[in-house]
Amino acid sequence: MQRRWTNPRSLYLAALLLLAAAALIPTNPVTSALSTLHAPLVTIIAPVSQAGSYVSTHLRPAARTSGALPIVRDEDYAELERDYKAALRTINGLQHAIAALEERPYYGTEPALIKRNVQRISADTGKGTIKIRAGSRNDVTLATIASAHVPDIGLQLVGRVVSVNRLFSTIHVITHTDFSPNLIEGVVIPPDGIADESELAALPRCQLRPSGSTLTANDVAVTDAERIAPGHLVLLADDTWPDAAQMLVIGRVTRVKDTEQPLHKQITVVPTTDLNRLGSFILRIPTEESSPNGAGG
Amino acid sequence: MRGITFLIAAWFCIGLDAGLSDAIQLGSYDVAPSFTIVLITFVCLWASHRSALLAALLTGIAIDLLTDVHTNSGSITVVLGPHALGLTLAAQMILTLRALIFRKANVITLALLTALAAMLLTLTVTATMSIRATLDPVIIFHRPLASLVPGLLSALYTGLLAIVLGFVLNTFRPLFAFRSPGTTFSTGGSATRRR
Repeated sequence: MQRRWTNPRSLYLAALLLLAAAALIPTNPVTSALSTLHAPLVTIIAPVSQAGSYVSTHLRPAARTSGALPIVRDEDYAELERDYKAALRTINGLQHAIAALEERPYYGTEPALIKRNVQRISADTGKGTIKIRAGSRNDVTLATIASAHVPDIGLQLVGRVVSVNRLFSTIHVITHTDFSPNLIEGVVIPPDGIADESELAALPRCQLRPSGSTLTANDVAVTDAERIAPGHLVLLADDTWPDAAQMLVIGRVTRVKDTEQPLHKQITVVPTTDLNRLGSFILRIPTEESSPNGAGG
Repeated sequence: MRGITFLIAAWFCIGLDAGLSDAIQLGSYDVAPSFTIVLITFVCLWASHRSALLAALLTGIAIDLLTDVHTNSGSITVVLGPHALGLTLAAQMILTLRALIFRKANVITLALLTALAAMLLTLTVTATMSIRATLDPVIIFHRPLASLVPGLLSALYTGLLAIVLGFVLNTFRPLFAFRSPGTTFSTGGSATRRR
């Protein structure tokens, strides 16, 4: 009997059964015990994965996104050229607006923050997670927001920290379909910007749902949608997010589309850079004086 | 098989998978090759049954512990089993096939077996995670097809990577000190009988 159980085939079958049980049984003790090895393992592979990330971000750097290009017929060129020039003027206006907004905060006061520049260790585009070389010893908490500086745009919201270990943390990217909270409220900024905070309340808002590499709002009221056009920037204005995330750029509107419901339109927002290919991030870590809210806190 | 050589190779391959995959993925699709599966296939072609299965099991456990799984609460967790189970099954498949079908273990053999192993791994992981998500509503895994299709395409891509990586691994093969009794393999034409 003893010999039968030390037989390699029996051991193999036993291992398979044990693994199947560990994989299928919710919150089992084996998984709980072994999951403590997650952090050490990430640390062990970090030298290679970070070197790989370094090569990766140089081979294929995060490109600024411009939305999908339409198929163009010859007769449409004149009209498209006119639209293109109008869009350039819009972009120019937006850039000035953003620059002005960055110099002069208009949305309450800047929350008390610690800002840290951190490097990526590894990225899993399928899961929408990015591991960064900063952990609890660098003051990172679950209320921390990851952003990235995009030239001429400002701070692009990348995601929020969903796991913190001593040496590293994990960011969940806002565009990933499993991102939680699954609805992100944004405010659409007109091309010429806004003069003061009081104008903010009158601007069109949208509830964006992550859909892979973009975010989509399916039920924007027609009255709001009429004031939204491709090229407009969408900033985060969501009370369920920490103060550290408010007014960061979610992305740029690339499409305003009719839906089956006549009173609603669909808008598509694309981040201003490819979030999965970023090599470095600016962490916005709320301090004790600031008040991390809701989902992020 | 020399354990320390395998551990170093596995460390290197798992690290490359974590850090380099987005650079070599196809466009913006989640289709990327896996260095680790090529290594496991290579080991399964040359090592003894016991060493090959143990290598696959340990590597699978390591990948499971490194793979983030999203939960309903917005946090992440790990699920032990899917990759370990998948890689162990894939290893068993290669061990069976190497004795039955292939008489020459060259890079093409390696590429074909790697693609098959990666496909089996994808199927196992997808099936396991689907069942787990049904049993455990905390785990988010609600689009099996969305992970199956890129996974199968990644398997083909991994097969292509094996052609390149096969030459590198063959060069370093003496460092692994393989001893697989009763198996006949050859590289580049010259057969080697192992006893």
